[in-house]
Amino acid sequence: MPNKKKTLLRIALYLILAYVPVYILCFAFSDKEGSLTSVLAGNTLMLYPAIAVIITRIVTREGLHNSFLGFGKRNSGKYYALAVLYPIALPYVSALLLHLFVVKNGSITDSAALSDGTSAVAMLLLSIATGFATAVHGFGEELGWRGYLTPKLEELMPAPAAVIVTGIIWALWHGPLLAYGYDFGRDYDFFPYGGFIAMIVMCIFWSAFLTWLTKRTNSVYPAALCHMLIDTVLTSNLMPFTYNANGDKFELRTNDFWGQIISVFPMIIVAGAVSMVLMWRKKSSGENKKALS
Amino acid sequence: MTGLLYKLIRTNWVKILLFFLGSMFYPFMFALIFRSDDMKDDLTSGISIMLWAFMAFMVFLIGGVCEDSIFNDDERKKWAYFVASTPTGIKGQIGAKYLFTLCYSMLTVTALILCCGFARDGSSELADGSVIFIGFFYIQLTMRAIEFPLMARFGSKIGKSLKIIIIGIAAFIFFAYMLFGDTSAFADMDTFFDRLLAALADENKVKRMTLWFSIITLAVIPIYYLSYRLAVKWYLKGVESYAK
Repeated sequence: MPNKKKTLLRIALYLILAYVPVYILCFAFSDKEGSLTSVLAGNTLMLYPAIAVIITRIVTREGLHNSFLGFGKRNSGKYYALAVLYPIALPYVSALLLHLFVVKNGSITDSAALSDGTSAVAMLLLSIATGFATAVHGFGEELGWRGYLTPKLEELMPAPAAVIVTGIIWALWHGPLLAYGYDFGRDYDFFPYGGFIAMIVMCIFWSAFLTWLTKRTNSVYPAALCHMLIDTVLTSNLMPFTYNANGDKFELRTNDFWGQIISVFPMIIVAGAVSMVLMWRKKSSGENKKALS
Repeated sequence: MTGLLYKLIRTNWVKILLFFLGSMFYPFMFALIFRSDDMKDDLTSGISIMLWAFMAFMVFLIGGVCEDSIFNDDERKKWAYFVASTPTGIKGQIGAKYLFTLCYSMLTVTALILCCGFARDGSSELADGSVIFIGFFYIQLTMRAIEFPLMARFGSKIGKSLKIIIIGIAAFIFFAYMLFGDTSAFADMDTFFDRLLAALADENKVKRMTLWFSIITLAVIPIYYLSYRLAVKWYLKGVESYAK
């Protein structure tokens, strides 16, 4: 019991340190349109979870125990490869779904991306290069969420529940940005509550996938790389599929918010669900072996 | 490998910290100056881009010195043979140094982006230098990818000299081209800028240039990995040339 109390206190301290600076900066520098008026504030947001972990570990004298800072087990290469391939596949699968179910006029071949292949390939390569070079920002978040919060929550609840709770906390951490329409815009019903629900769903499934990467490699770096690549690759490479070759936006059967959900969410949900099953299966088989022995 | 990386950071942390803070001193001071009211009227976007490029060059140059000195920090025969006999082996020994260089360069990019953000908060006229910083990040990795295998094979002194010779040969080829090749584009600055602007106005040319630029940029990552493999292969041969 005292251990649980200690864990709860550590989680509380971490969450205060991760949430407070982000909420203060996002409200203080918000342009009320979804962006921030301060470039520096915007650039530092992703680093606060890592700073919170460092301070929490110093204050609680935990040291570097279970910090996932190593470069992983042997044969982790395939998970690093997956951490790169998943963000690259995401915009293209999303574009396919967008044109199958959401776009009203024109086909995927009419899109700006496919009619100008040179620019599309250049954009993809540059966004990967940018994501790789700025991976420290991804590390900033992943060290906090996957490297600290999820393992701590696992001490209090079953692993799937810990992943879900991490996802919810992670989504709400983006609260001030969502409230002003950063991720999903402002043009949808039940703004901003619909955006909060969408973000929670997205973060739960991403949390599952990133936690799976972290657990399989025993390292936070694949998740950090994957996170940063998602941030740099997804939007910049999906956007050209929403315009035709003349630069006009395709007409959609829904508004942008639902368009985003129908096109981008399926792959996120599938990857998250598969990761959850894989994590659960591994854990159950491990427990069975333990029971048999 | 993680253990060796920890050892590397633990034994050199003062040097790493001083190098990092020292290299970031100029960008930070520049950012402070950029924010001052006196400078706001004089700074155009173009000038600020050039200044960011200059600062990034300086920061990565100083960072390169740190990365080099870390690479040859444990050039001792006894240590080299000992580490080669451990389960982590040469791969871990060399891998830790390559990873350190990668992480240090990534941190430099992040610090420069933060500095740039700090400056831009003071003056909206300033350009975003992120693309330049990222470009220098890949140049830094390329330089280390050339240098490290040479340092592993021939020891730090000869390795560095060889790198200078390679750069010297490249510079010689460039000068020879400037003397005897087609230099009509550089006849005078007007001609040069006319051609540059004409090239930028040609949409297809810009697209092709961007594609090549992106391919070359991303190619640095596999080159860096291949360089690591080469350094691992050459490490024990290089140990023989160590003085101690």
